[in-house]
Amino acid sequence: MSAAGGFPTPPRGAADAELERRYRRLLRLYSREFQARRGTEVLGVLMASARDGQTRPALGDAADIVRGSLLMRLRGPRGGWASALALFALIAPLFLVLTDILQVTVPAEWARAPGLAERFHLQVTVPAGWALAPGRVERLHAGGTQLLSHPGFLVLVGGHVIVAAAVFAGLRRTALAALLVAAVVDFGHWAHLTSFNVLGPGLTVVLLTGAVFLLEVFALAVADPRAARRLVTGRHAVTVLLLAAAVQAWSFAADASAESPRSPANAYLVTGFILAAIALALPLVLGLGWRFSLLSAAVCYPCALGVAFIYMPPLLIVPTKVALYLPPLLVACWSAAWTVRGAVTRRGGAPG
Amino acid sequence: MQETTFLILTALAEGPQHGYGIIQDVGRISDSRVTLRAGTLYGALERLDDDGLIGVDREEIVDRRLRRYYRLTDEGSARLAEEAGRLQTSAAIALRRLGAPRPGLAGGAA
Repeated sequence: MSAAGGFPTPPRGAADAELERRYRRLLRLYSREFQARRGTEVLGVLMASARDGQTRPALGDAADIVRGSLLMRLRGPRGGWASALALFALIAPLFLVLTDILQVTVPAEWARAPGLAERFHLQVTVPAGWALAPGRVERLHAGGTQLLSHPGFLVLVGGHVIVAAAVFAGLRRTALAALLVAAVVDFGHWAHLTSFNVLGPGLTVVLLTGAVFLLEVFALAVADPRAARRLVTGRHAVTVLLLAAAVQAWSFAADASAESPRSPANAYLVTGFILAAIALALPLVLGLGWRFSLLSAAVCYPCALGVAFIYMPPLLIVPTKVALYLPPLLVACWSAAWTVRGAVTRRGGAPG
Repeated sequence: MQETTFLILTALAEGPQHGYGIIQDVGRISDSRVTLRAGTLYGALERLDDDGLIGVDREEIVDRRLRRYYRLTDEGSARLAEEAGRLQTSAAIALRRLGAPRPGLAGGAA
């Protein structure tokens, strides 16, 4: 390992040593991976460009490093969409399993609020039916560990665990099959809960959240999650844990405020958008790149969408619908387009 | 293609160069109009490497500092040639329209 720390410092006098120390500090703005790979090289270039006796980084060079490191962090890890999608394919099932675990660890008295039946359908990969005919759902009034005795919940969790295990084992086809089966089972469960009123007013939502489900399918179809196992870092784990916690906390807050007769319906919309913004910002802050950030927002956005639908039917006038539908719809269309293009390019033969 | 990218590829078109060499060469090629700095250079090198347009040629230790030499890949050469041709065509049209009353004079026959 030729890490940045092992690089010998040329004995060139105090001024150079001072300048080098300052440049090294600036280079810490780059990701650790980049520093290990190119740190000494960039330092060499910076030192070569320096004047004799210079002790402080030139302002232009310093600004350029700040800008360059920021852009590189926004760009995220190497490999572009292929690695972002592979990571997404690996992480998304983990997000679902974590959400399930959080769901069970919640005290039962918290979960007595209405909406629990809907809530465990908000868990993204298998969302096919949850928004059908809001308001017609039989309330389950079960929560916490009580959920474990509910067959619907167990089927849902089982599906998520199988998908996650298959993805981590690198069994792409098994994961795809489990994903499809879980979606069908969940949809059937929902259809049963809604007395088979599957063409109710929530059909558009079904299509849209189905788009996110498709995003995982596309990711699995295009990118190999086995490749992502090498790329996945602690920061990905932190992101997925925080997002799952945020989604759960938010949905409980939504339930709690639904209990109070004077809860402002707008609050769901606002907090839903805040949640989506967090999902967008968190991966960026952690340097996972804008592509991964877009995918993570695509996962969390439908949760906002879902609760908004369940609790605020009166608000569903046309502009609200457009605001809710447009971003996930764009992501879905774009990912479909990208998938097709990627397939075409790969057929033509990718470089190196 | 951005001008910086074009200049870096042009710098590598003559043969492999290391980072500082590219900076100096880009200064020469652009007649000192473009000052390439390390942050910009390495952002571009990362992107070009990801896109398969350049690759690492060799590494040397000079003056106890690591020097990594980069070279154009075949795809990089092709892309640069394509871009240069495009720029030449546009420039020829611009010059012809500016300098000659009738088309076809400045560009020469065929």
